[in-house]
Amino acid sequence: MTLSGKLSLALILGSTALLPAAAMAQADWPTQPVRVIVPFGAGGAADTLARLISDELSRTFGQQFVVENLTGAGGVIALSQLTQARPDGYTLGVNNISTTVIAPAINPNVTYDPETDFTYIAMLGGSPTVWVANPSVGVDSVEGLVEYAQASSTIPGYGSPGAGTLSHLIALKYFDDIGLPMEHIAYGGAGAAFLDVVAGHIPLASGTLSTASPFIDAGQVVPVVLSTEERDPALPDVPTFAELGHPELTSTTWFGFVGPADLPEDIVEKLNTEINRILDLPTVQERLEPEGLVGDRMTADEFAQYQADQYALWGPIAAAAEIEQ
Amino acid sequence: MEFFDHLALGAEVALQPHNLFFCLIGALVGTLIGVLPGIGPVATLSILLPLTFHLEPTSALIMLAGIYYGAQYGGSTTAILVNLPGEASSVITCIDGYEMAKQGRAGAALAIAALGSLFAGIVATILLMLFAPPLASIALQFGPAEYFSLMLLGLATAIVLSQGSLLRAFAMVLMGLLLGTIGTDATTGAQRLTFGMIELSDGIDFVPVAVGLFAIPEIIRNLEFPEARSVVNTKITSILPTREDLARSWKAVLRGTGIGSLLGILPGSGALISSFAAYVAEKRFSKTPDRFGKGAIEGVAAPEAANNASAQMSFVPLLTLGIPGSATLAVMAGAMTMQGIRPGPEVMTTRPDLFWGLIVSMFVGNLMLVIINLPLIGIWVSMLKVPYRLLYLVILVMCCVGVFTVNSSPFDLVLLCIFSLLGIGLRKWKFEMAPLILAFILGPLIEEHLRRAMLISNGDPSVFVTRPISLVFLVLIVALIGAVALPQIRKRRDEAVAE
Repeated sequence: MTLSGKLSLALILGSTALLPAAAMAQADWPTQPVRVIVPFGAGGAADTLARLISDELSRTFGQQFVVENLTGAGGVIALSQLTQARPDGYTLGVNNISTTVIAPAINPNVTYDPETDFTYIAMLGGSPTVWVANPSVGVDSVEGLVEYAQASSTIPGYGSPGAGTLSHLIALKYFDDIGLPMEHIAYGGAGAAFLDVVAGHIPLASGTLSTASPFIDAGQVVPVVLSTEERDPALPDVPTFAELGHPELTSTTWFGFVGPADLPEDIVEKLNTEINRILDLPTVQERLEPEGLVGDRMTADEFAQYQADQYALWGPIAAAAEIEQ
Repeated sequence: MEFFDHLALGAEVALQPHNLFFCLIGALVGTLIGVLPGIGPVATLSILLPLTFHLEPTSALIMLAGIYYGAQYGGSTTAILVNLPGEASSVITCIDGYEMAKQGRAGAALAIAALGSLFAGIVATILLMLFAPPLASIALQFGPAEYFSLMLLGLATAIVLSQGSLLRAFAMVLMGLLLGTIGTDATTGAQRLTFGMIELSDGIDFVPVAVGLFAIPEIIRNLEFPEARSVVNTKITSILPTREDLARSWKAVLRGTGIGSLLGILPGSGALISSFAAYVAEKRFSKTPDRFGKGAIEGVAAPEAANNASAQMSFVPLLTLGIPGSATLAVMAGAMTMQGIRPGPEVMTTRPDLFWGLIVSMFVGNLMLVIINLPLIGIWVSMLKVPYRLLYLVILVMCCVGVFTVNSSPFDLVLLCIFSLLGIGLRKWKFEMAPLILAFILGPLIEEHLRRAMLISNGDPSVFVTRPISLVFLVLIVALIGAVALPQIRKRRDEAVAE
């Protein structure tokens, strides 16, 4: 037997011998620090969520949960890395609707399959989409918007946080369904789009409610319609898409907690229970207030199902939108 | 009077011992990262942000703001000493600052940069206190059409900046524009020139380009021609600026402060354009424009004042509209949100202690920075006496570390190699880097605003001339290009100057 033959034999024996040990390690997971990969930069909603949750998880499990920001390609690079990690519970990450629902549907360079390459652990919630109009336009309802657009001599534009964002797709689908021609104008983020509505450069924008709230509260823009399930108590006069007969547009720009595929069930269970508890803590709620997150707590199975449903719903819409990434 | 009430409220917060402490830490860290080549404020703020998680919001913001404007002070240090811009806005400081260093006047350049920045910082902070809300409404006047024309004006200054052949400058502008198109098309989401590489889909980062084009070719040249290492060989004259330096600089500082305060209000590339605009204005106003590019102290004073003024003023859109004007300020906005404070118009009314405390801390921080920086000048300058065979290794390693830390991406190091080779080649053939960098940064913005303006107007290009602010910028562009491109005008003026 050659030296390399001996080596591989030893490796095979060694790895089989390690199997029960690995299984045992799960029972008292975690025994070492856990990496939490955040696909976006420090200070964003994903980062805040990850840090708040990791802080509490470290306290509960007695091991450090270390947040690592890995930016680039709209989060796709970080999630690709996560799928390469060993499913031992020591590498976890944050996903969102754009990285595991929209990007895989439209970007041929995405190498992972959202249906098989992840273990979905917990749903963290998200901010709904709101449409806002400049007050001088005189639009405060979708009917008003349709009238305004039809009376206009040119095709009115609407701003969005960017091509292929959920807020863009919602507007695209709705205008397509009712057959209203509107010009899409992409901005680099919801804030910039709302600012141009405030200044009157564009009449309408579709974006996240959390970003729009300060402008709505200050009366600088008029909310038109919301993508929540039921009316927002803070905006009782603003109807939902569901009320307008489009329940499929009920959605949020949501975030989730994920791991690589085939994560042991007991670890997923532990994490899901803990994260759901953490999200309801008053101290955490207080910190998350500006992010405007809504959404029901889900079990891991419910979250996996939700991800699959979202992929089935928005994937084709995004692909049909001819956003060629 | 309201102003003094605000000042008193702010002082009460900012002068608390623990806030003074965090202000000092911010100023120190800012200076440090400004001085370390390649490590920019965005990376530093991102790294330090988690540490502020458990701090009280006001202290956290005071410290982060200190890092932000501290880096503006420090950024000029590497630009002057080793021809390495730490940030886009100090690209311009390299031109005359590094020339001054070569002539042994690095100390004077650093001192003028620090004093000019102090003056600009204080003036801008006073403006911020007095006029924040009305200034925000000026920013709102700028729609896509206005931004397009302003950015185009910024690009036109690239031509004025060129010292040598116009054709070469033009070629560099085109190359910069091309490099800027790499990445995801903002309007359609299409991938452009990414060759299937996911790492390119966000476009190329500024840091590997700047380090590759400026710092590395400089190192190679110094190694290739040991006699050219004049920074080291020249006898370093007085560290303090001479009376003549001050006489030449003070007007430049005033004009730079004005330009920076005005352009800083605009979210986007305010700081960058203001430093270029201030430099071009100086060159135009100067009775001896030929001195520019050969170590003119005004060429350091004006852009440094402008970029510090605009750094201070860029808090206007952040604090009054909730719009971060740059990547660095976006991290600041993140820090506020993380503390449960939503940046926006209501910060001033719901958290006046934080708002005015932060602003007053800027006075304190600017003073601290000058106190930290002036004595350090001697130390920085004496570092140039370190044997170059040791110094260049340190610079090289710091550059690589800096490039890597931006995105923790090994791919950026590959880009650094590519741009270093490009930079070495371009330098050999006497092409200038500043027009390339300017076009690289402004190109994507120009395109974005052009397409947005055209979509809003349904394809009618007349918006650019019917909107008055936009028209003014376009007229300035024509005037600027006319003045440079028509050789007879140039010749006549040169003769007039010679007399």
